[in-house]
Amino acid sequence: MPLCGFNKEMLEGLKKFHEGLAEQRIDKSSEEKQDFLEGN
Amino acid sequence: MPICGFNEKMLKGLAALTEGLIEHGLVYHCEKNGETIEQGIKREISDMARLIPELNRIGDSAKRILTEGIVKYAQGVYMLARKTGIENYKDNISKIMNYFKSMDSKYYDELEGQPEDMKDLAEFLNEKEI
Repeated sequence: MPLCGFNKEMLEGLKKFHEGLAEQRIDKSSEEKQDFLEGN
Repeated sequence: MPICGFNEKMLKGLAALTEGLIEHGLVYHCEKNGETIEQGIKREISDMARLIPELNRIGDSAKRILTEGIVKYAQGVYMLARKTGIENYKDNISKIMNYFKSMDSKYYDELEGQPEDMKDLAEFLNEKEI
């Protein structure tokens, strides 16, 4: 352990996961805002 | 929640992390240290089990939870590798990703807004095979 020495692939993977999580959250917030504005 | 709907980017990222944990974290280090894969898995799991209780020393809760999360994720990956054998690791990665996808589908398609949503989700996951 301590994560067995992160290699580039692992760091890129985590970065991608993190970005995906943020993007998904932003998309979801936009949908929720749209629903609210449309009275759904 | 339940991961806010896993998107493709998140799944690909997690799959890459998991692949790195096996190929680099385990196989490469075992070769380098002259260990068998079984010995390597045992050592890694034991190191992680020693590290987790010490993480309470991290005062910042976000940082502590991030660190605990990734250490526990790696520990789970190695426990699965111990159970199924290292030769099946690509298959295991797909199964882990499908497990997470099923967690999201169950929540968003059936449980969201239900009074016992999280309890029902945990029970569903308990029954779901990886």
